[in-house]
Amino acid sequence: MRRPKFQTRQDDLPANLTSQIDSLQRGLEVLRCFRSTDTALELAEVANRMGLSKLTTLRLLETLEQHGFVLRLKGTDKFVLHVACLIVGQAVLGSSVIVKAGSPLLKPFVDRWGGQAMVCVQERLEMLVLSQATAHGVTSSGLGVGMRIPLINTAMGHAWLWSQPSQIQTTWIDRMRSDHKGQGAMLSNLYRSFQSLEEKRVCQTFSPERPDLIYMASPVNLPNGVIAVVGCVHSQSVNYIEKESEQLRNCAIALTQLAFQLQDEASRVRIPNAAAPHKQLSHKPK
Amino acid sequence: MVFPNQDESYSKAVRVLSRGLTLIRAFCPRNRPLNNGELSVATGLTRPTVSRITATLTRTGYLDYLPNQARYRLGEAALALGFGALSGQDIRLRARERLQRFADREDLLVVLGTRDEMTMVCHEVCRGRGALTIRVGAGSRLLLPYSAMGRAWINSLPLSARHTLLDEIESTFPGQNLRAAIDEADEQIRKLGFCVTFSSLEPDVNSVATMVDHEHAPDQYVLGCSVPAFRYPPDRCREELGPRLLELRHAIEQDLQP
Repeated sequence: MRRPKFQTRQDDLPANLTSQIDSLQRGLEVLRCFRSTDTALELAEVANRMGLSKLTTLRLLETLEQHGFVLRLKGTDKFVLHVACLIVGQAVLGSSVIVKAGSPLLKPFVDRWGGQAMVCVQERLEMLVLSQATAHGVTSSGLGVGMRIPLINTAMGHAWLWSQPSQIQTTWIDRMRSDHKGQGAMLSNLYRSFQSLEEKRVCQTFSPERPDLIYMASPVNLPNGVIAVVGCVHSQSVNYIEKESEQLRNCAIALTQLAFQLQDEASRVRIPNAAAPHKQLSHKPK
Repeated sequence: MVFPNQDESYSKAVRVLSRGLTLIRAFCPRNRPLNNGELSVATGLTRPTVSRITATLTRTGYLDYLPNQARYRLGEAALALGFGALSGQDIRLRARERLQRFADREDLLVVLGTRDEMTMVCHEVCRGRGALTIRVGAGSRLLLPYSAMGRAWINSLPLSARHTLLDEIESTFPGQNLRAAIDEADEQIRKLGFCVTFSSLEPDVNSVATMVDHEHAPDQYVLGCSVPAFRYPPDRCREELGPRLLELRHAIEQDLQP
């Protein structure tokens, strides 16, 4: 069944503009529907993910192709993401205070504690990875820069939500209750994370997709009012021994220190021609 | 598939998306803050159109509004527009380790780039200790017809596209007589598999380049390296450096095999 993956806020727009704005939002949603595991997507698959007709989807893809955001593989109906996505992403990363402040801190952290470390911000229903480092010799968890981690069931999302005003927390929790009926474990995990964050300013969950991976996260209050999250990913060995557990506890403490370091560093970093954004990303679940 | 470009609603929809994408790209490569007037000049769109698009993109988080400057810039959400999905499978990341080893071993600067308009964009740049003075970094743009990478890319074009591009080059760089140099690069690639430039972009810097074959991005990525001319005079570039760059290219292509 087709399911629209985007939502528009059209109430405040004149009727003749809404369809035009739709096509801009839809076109950008097409780029978001590609996943890192997709080497190439058929037109029909993009249309299915978008909940649009093949003809409309083709129009969007061909326009994206003209601007270098996707590339149609020769002689096929398959499309891949293309160079403009990299150029736009690099422009964002090159001007981000969080990236400039966070990147130099992550490498020493993984050199000491192993695994993978990252800085994320909230984006819609997910946490967006802005910067990451992986310890030498560690197999990547697949969470690269620009990738998105679900907010509701990961330590990174829990740390962000914990830092929000209670009104926003309530909106999110109500949404979780209605969207995940019968999955009480999800809420219990969230409350467990909140308790851990209250006590130690750090929380821990297992990866939703790979239970062998442990996620840990701690929130960062940036000078411009944005809440970022520092997180780390560790692989849990089959024999979860006491020594390893001790190592993770120490790593969690180090993660909270990393969060404070990032907070401090972000207040010092200057990006030419940059300033604090007027508003945070939308906090409400859509 | 038939593409009904006479349809009015189609034209409108495509036009709006196209304008939005043009506006997003106006912030690249440095994401310099711009106001509606500056965006209007940069994109050729009218101010009311720019104003509508910036409002939509700000509401959706793709642009940040900077109140103290009354300007916009790309927001972090714009990173979600394909960057993560692409970079995970992008050959840049998969090739990075080999590039750095090559740069260290040969003591030079090695670049993986793609074409954008009249430039080659350097996506991945690795340098050895002896290449510290060459002024190229990630995000640098090299003029297409002057760089070895650009000439290698031009060589990969089908004949008709090549003619069109050469005409564009002549009008963009009038009186430069670049066609002879581009033809010579073609001849080198035909014979050797790579092309070489000598002090073409930067004085006393020589460069070698070759295309990388990648199943999902055919004719897109170019591998290039640059060296100080005093260490690698033309003969060494042709006889030693070029063949080593071809070895690196083949190793990268092997890695990319599914």
